[in-house]
Amino acid sequence: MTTPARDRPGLGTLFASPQGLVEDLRPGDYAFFGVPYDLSSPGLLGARHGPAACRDGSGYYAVFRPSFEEITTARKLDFPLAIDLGDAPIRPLDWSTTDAILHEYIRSVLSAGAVPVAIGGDHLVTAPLAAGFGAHVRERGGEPAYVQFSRRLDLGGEHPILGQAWRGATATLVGGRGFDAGRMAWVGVNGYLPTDEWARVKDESLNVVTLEELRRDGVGDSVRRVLEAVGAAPRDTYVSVDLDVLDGAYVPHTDEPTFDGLTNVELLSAIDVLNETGVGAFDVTGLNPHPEPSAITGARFTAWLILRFICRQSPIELETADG
Amino acid sequence: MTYERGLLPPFAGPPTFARCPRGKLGDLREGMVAVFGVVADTIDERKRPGTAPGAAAIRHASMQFISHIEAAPGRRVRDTMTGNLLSLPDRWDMLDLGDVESNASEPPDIASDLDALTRPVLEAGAIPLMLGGPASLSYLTNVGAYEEDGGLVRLSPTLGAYDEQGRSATIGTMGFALQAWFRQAQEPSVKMLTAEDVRRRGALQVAREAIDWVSGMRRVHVAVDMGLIDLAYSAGTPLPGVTGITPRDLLTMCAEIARSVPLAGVTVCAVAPALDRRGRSEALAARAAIELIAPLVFEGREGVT
Repeated sequence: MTTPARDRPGLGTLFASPQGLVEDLRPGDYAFFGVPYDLSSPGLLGARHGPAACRDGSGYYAVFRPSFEEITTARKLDFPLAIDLGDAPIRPLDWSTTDAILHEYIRSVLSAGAVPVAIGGDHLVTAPLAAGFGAHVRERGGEPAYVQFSRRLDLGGEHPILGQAWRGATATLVGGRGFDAGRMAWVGVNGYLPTDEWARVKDESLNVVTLEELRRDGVGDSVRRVLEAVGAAPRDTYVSVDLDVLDGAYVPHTDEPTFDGLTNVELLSAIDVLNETGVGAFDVTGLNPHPEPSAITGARFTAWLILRFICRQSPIELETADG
Repeated sequence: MTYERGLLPPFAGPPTFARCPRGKLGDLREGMVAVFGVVADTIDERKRPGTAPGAAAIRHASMQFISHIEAAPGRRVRDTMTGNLLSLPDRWDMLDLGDVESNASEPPDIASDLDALTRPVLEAGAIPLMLGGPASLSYLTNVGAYEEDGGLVRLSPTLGAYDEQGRSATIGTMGFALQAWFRQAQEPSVKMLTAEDVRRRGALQVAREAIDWVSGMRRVHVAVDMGLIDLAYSAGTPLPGVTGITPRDLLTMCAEIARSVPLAGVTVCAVAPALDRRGRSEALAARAAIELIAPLVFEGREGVT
C-alpha cells in the first residue's frame, strides 16, 4: 500500500488519498475507483477520461488535508479515511464482461465494509454497480433502494443502434436486477423525454421529481422527501449522479449540451442532504473533459461534489468585520 | 443479406437540418418549411468574425435532437418544460435546400442572392427557415419586407431598424445603444422588450406581449439573433453580451410564439461555432429553430395529442 501523497503530488490519486487494493480497505473507509467506459453514449465520447480528469481536479483540494473551513457554507470539513483503488479493470469492447467485472468489483468493496465512490464513465456503468450493490444488500437481509440525479429518466428499452446496454436504459437495467420500482427515484428530470418513459412514470406513480418541482419546492425538502419515499435505510441506498442534471452553463463537460438543469450550488446542496445520513454507495458519471479542454470546471466540480459527500461536516462561526 | 439503410447515429452525415429530405425549389409545396443556410460572415468591424460556418454547425447540432426522436419508441418525445409532444413526421413538410449559392466575400452579392432565393420560396407558399450568417442579413428573409401586412418578432440584443408602422416587436435588447436610437425605440409605434423585462416579468409574459403587438398582422416572421443569450450560456456569437437572457427563456418564448402566431418565416443567425468550443451555441440555435417550426413539422402527426 502506498503512503498518502500530500508530499508527492505526482502520484495523482483522488484528493491525494493513499493508493491501495481492495484488500487494504478497512470498515468505514471510502473506496474511490474510476470506471473509464464511455461507449454507450450516442453523443460525444470522452467520459472514459472522466476519472483521470477528476483526479487531476481534486489536487486543488488535496492541499487542504486533513481539514478545512468552507466560507460559503460556514462549515468545517474533515477528510475521512479513504483509499483510491485506481480504475476498475474493465473491457472496453466487451460490455457483458465489463458488466460482470463491475458487479463483482463493487461487491468485493462492500464486503470489506467500505463505502464505494465510483467515478464514470458514462451513466451505463451505474447499472452493474447498482446491481452488485443490490445483491450485497439483499445478502445481508436488506432491501436496496436507488436514487438517481439525471436530466433523463433512463427508462429506455433497446436502442435501435446501441442495443440493450446504453446509457438511456440505465434505470431500466437497474430495475430489472432486483430493485423494486417503488424503491427507485429520479431527481432533476428535464428537457425532452420519450413518451413511453413518461407514460410509465404516470401509470406506475414512480418517484420522479422534475426540475420544475425542485425549483418550486426547494432542493433540500425535495431530496429529503425522495429519500423518505424510497423508504430504505441510508446504507441500503445507492445514489447515482449523472452530471447532465446540471445546466451546461455551469458544467459543460457532458456528452451532449444541456440548456436547463440544476445550478452547481443546487446540486451541492442536494449532496449535503445525502451527507447528513450517508448512503451505501455513490457514483458520479458523465464527466467528459473534452467539450471544453482548456477549462477544468467539470473536473474541479466533480471532485468538489465528491468531497461534499464524503467529508464530515460541522458548522463554524465566521468572524465578521465588526468582530 | 440485403442491405437496408437503417437508423444512423447522431454524428453520421451528411447532415440536413433535423435530417429532413434534401430538395430543390421545384419540390416545395404550399405550407412547407424551406430550410436554407447562409455562408457569410459579419462585415461589422465591431464584431468577431466566424458566422460563415454557422449554418453547417446548426445542421450538425440538429441531428443530435432528431436522433433522440428517431430512437424513441413511437418516435416521439415529450418536452417536460412545455408539455408539448414532438414526433417524427410520417411525411416531411420540410425540405433542406442547402446553402444559398453566393460569393461569400461580397456582401452585396449575398444580399441579392438571398433575395433571389427567398422570393420563389414565398411564391411557392413555403415558409423560409434561414440558418446562419450574420444578423445584418437576417432582414432579407423577413416576410414583412415582401408583404405589406406581414409582422416581425425579433429576438435580438439590438434595437433594430426604426419601424414607424408598428408592425414589429423586439425582445431581448440589452447593453449600450446610441441615445438617438434609444429615443426612437421608445416611440409609441415601437415595441421594445428588453432582456431586463424578460428577467422581471418572465419569458412567457414578455412573449405574450410581443404576440399581442403583432396580432393584427396576417403572418409573422420570427428572427432570432443568438447574440441575445448571455455569454455564460452561449458564447459562439460575434458580439456576446453579459446581461443576456437564458436558454430556457429563449426556448420558452420560441415555443409560445410558434403556437400563437401564423408563421411566415424564421431566421436563426449569428452563430459562430469556432468561438464556442463547447458546441453549445449551435446546439441552442438548432433547438430554437426546432421550437419555432415544431407546430408545422413535428406536431402534425395524426393520433399524437
